[in-house]
Amino acid sequence: MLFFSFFKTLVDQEVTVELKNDIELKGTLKSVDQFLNLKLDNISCSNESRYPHLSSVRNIFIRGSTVRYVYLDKNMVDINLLQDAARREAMSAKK
Amino acid sequence: MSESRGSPAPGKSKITEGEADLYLDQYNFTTTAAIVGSVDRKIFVLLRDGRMLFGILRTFDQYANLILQHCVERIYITEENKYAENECGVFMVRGENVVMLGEVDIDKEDEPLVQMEQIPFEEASQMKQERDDARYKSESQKGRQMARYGLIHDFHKSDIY
Amino acid sequence: MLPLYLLTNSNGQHMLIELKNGDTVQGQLTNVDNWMNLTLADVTHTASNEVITLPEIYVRGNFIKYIKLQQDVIEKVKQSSAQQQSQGHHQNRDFRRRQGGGGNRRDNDRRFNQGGNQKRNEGRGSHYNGGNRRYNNQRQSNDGNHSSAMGGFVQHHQTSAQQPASLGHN
Repeated sequence: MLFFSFFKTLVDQEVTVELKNDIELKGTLKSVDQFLNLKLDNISCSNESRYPHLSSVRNIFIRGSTVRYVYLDKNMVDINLLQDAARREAMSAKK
Repeated sequence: MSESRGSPAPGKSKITEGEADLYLDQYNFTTTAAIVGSVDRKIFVLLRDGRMLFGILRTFDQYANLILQHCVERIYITEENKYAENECGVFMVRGENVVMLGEVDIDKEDEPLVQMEQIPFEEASQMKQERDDARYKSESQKGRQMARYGLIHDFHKSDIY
Repeated sequence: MLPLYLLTNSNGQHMLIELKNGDTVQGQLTNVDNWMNLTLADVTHTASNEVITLPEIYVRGNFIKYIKLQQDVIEKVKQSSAQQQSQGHHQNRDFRRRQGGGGNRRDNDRRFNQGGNQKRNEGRGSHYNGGNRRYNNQRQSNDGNHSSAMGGFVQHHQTSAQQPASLGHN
């Protein structure tokens, strides 16, 4: 559940999601669930030609399994916090 | 859709705030919390086989199984600035086949379509079939090439969204 | 109203199912279970231009891509569930299903209420049918054979007669 917790800390930040079909969607991360399904608000799409209607879409729900990358800004990530969480996760896995 | 709980006025279709809270409480940080706001709105759904559906989301469950009413399948042939539509009534989509779904602004929805030419659905689906076949060919060729370098190119025939 | 609820209540309706491999199956729904496995009668199976007709088919829920339903399913199912309700079927299946895992929590809730505010407890009494485990189990066994509206009616009165007793036990 580390990544779930990690994504929860990114809620309300602007991220770019690249799907496995090469589409990139930029928007405000609104929610994430245990499968890393994502919900983005106010989306914009860099390559809109394939799906022209995306310009009229306000918010979007993306199935986690279709995501290739999530681009984050450097200063969105608290490295220390993340390392701590990773250690804790590793500790609890050992037990 | 009427969420009957006995106590609120019968036939009242919207759930009260308290009920919605209780509902969300159980499903916090699940699929449900994410799409509950799109109920009774027009949404688009992209399926894993590349189909695009537009319709009114009537209900859903924790797997993102969806019921769409007044459902329209649309194909874009963007290279030729063409599109086609096919009305298909009430649809139930199994959640695992969904790539993404989003609320559509019905005021802006038609904007990209006005400059496009509508063609018969049969014709468009033929063109889409050819496009998908070509895509499949190139992807599997890419897969073979990458395998030569010991890399995996994850591509399945049913995944051409 | 969950998608599966709609489906379980559209028995006898005509539908078109597309499978994950692109084949389509058309027929009349005879049965559905909780995994969306279903059986159809009077079936036309189409696999890339090859058409086969069969008297019956079983489809594994897992392998379904989508189902195209009749235009009027939503209205029909709504009507029939409203009918059940007006016949004293207060907590319809929909409510029970939604409770799912929450059932336990409700039971706790009830115990808490009983110790404290009696009046509030009475006011919410109608909910507890749904939270009552015994009631759930009874009705679940009934789900499969799709009891008539009348059957539901009788069932309800049995359970409401039981309820004071079960409240007393706790």
